[in-house]
Amino acid sequence: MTHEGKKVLVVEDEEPLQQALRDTLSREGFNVLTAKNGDEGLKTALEQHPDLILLDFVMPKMDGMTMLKQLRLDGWGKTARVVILTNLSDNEKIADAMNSETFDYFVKSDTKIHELVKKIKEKLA
Amino acid sequence: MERAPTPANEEERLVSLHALALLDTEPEERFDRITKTATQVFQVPISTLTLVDAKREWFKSCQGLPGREGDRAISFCGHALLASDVFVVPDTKKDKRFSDNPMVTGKPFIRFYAGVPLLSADGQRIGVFCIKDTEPREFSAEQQGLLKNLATWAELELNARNLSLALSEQKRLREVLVQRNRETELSRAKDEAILDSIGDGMIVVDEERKILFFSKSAEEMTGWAARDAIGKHASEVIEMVDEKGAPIHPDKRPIHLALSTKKKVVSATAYYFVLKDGARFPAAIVATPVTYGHAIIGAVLIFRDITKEKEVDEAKTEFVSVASHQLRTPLSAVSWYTEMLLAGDAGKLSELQEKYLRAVYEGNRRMVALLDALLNVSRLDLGSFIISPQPTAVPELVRSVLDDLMPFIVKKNITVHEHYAKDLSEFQADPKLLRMVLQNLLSNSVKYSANNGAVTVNVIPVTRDHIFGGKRAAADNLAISVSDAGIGIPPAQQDKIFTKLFRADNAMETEAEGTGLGLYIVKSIIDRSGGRVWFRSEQGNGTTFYITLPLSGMRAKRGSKMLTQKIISTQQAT
Repeated sequence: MTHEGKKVLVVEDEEPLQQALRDTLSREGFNVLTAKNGDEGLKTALEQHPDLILLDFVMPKMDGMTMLKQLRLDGWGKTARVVILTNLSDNEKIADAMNSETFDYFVKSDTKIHELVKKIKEKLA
Repeated sequence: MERAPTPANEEERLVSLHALALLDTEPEERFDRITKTATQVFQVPISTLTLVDAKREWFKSCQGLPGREGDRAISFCGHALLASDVFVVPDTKKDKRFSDNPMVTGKPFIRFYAGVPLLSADGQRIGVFCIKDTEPREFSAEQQGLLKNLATWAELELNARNLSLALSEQKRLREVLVQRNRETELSRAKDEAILDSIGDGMIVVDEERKILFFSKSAEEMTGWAARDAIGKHASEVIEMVDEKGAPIHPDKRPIHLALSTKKKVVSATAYYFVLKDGARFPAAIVATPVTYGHAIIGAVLIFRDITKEKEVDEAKTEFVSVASHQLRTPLSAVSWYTEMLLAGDAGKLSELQEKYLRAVYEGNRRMVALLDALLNVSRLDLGSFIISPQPTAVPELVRSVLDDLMPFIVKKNITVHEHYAKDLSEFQADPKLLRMVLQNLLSNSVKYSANNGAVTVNVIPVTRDHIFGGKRAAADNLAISVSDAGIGIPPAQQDKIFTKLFRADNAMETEAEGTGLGLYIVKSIIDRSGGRVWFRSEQGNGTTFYITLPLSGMRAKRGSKMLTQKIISTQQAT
C-alpha cells in the first residue's frame, strides 16, 4: 500500500462530516490531520505539508476559497494537492477553484465516501 | 359690327351670376337709386345696371329705356363686361365696332357709351354699370372716376345679399371651428392625462432619434424635465450601461434596434439607466418602431424600473444557493455514515440491521435526488443556468447514460436498440445538459417499460425538411428519438406531461417514486437551447419522445449556475 502513512489534511467545519472522513481515511491507513476552518487549515497545511488537502468551501472565519488562494502564495503551497469537497454547485466558485489549479472537486451529497477514498488513493498512488 | 365676345370662363361666370338670384326679379329701389343718380350726375338720358346672361343682357335697373333686356351679341355691355377698366365709346358712329349697330342706327340711337364691369364676391364678371347718351361726348378722367365710384356702389348692392350670407357662413364655420378646437383640446388634454398616468416611462423619438415626447413617469424616473429633453438626441438624455457598468453603444440600444430592424425590441439582457446624478436603475424596456404608411417615422420606448424584481430575483438565487448548501450538508452526513455502517466499518451488521439501514440509505438518496431536481428547476425558472456548448459525441453520451441505467436494464431484461447515423460528426452541445435530457428520457423509457420490453434510440441529422415524429423537422437539425413499448401516456393527460410536478396516473401506479420534474427539466433545457421537444404516445402501447436541436449547436447562454447532473442516476443507481 503506497498510500500508507500519507498525510491527508481534512479542512471541514461540519463536525459529523469531518469525523466521517477522519474515521474512514484512518481506517484505510492514512495519517489524518483535521482543521475546522480555513484559518486553522492554512496554518496546519503550511506547518505539516500534507500530501493532500480535502478542502470544504463554506466555512466560518476563513472560507475554502480564501485559504486556497493564500496557500497558492506559499512556495510549498503553490503545488500542494488540493481536492475541493463542497455542497455548492455554484459554477463561479468552482471555476475560481479550477483557476487555482485544484486537482478535482466533488459534491459531497453526490459522492459516496468509499468512492472518495478510492479517488484519493489513486491520486496519491 | 363686332359682336360681343364670350369669355373663356363663361360657365363659371354664369354659375356666379345665377347664384346671385337677381335675374328676372322685380326692380329694386336700392339699384334704381344708383342709376337715377348716374343720369343726374352725368346729365344723360340712359343708365342701366346690366347683368350679362348667356344670350341676353338683362337690366336689374334701368333709366331711359322701355324694355328690360336686349340681345347680348349686339349689346354694348357685352363688350364692357370684359374691359379692364372703364369702357368708353365717345362717338359710336366713329367706332367701327358699333357704327352699324342697330341700336346706333335705329332706336334708341346711342351715340355715347361708358360702362364699368361689375364683379361678384367671388371675382366673376357678372354685369356692367353703364350710362348712354344720344349725343357724342368727351368723358374726362374725372368723370370716369365718378362712374367707377357709382359702379362700386352698384357692385356692393349686388353682392350685399351674398356678402351677408358669406358673413353668416363664416360665422357659423368659425363657431364649428371653435367647437372642434375645444373638442380637440379636450381630447388632447385627455390623451395627455392618459399618457401622464402611464406608470411606465414613455419616450417617443423621431427617425433621427430626436425626442418628441417625454412622459411624466419618464421625468420622474430619469430626473429630466420634458421641456429640456424634448428636441435632444435620445442618447444625450438616456445614458445606458450593462450589468457591469460598461456603457452600451447608442447603436446597440433598443431604440436604435427598433428603428433599424423595424421590429419590436424587448430587452432580454439587463439595461441600466444612468440618472443625471450618476445613480442607476435596472430597466425592462420595450422599443417599438412607429410606422406611417410604409415608412418608419420614429419609435416609442417604454421602460420600467425593475429594481424590486431584480432584488427578488437575487434573493431567490441566493436562497437556492444557501438551500443547496444547507440541505445537502445533513444529507451528506446521513449518506456517509449509513454507507460506513453498511460497509461494516463499525462492525458486522445483522441481516435485519442491514435491511433497515439500506432503507435509510435509499430514502436519503431519494432526498438528495429530489433536492437536486428542485434546485435545477429553480435555476431553470430563474433562467440563471448556463449553456456552454462544446463539440460532443452524442452516441457516446447515450451509451454512458445507458451504462448508468444498466442495472435496471438488466433487471427488467430490456433490449436496447441504438441507431446512430453514420455521418454523425461531433455536435455542438452542452454535454451536461444534453446528458440530463437523455438521462431523463431513457430512464423514463426503462422505468415505464414492462419486463422483457424494448427501448430504441435514434440519432440522425436532418439535412433537409422531412417528417420526423409526425412533424416537419427543419433542415439542419439533429434529431433524437427515444421510444419504448411501455405504459404510454393517457390521452387526457398528454397536454400536461411537461408541466412541473405533474405525473400521469398510470405512471404513479407503475412507479411510486418520481419527482414529476424530469420532463419539465427536459423541456426547459431544450426550449432554451433553441430546440424542440414533443412526443407521440398511445396508452398501453408505448411512447416516443422526439428532440430536434439545430445542427449549428445548442444556443450558448451565459448564466451563473450549473445544473446538477445526477438527477436520475443518483436516485436509481444505488
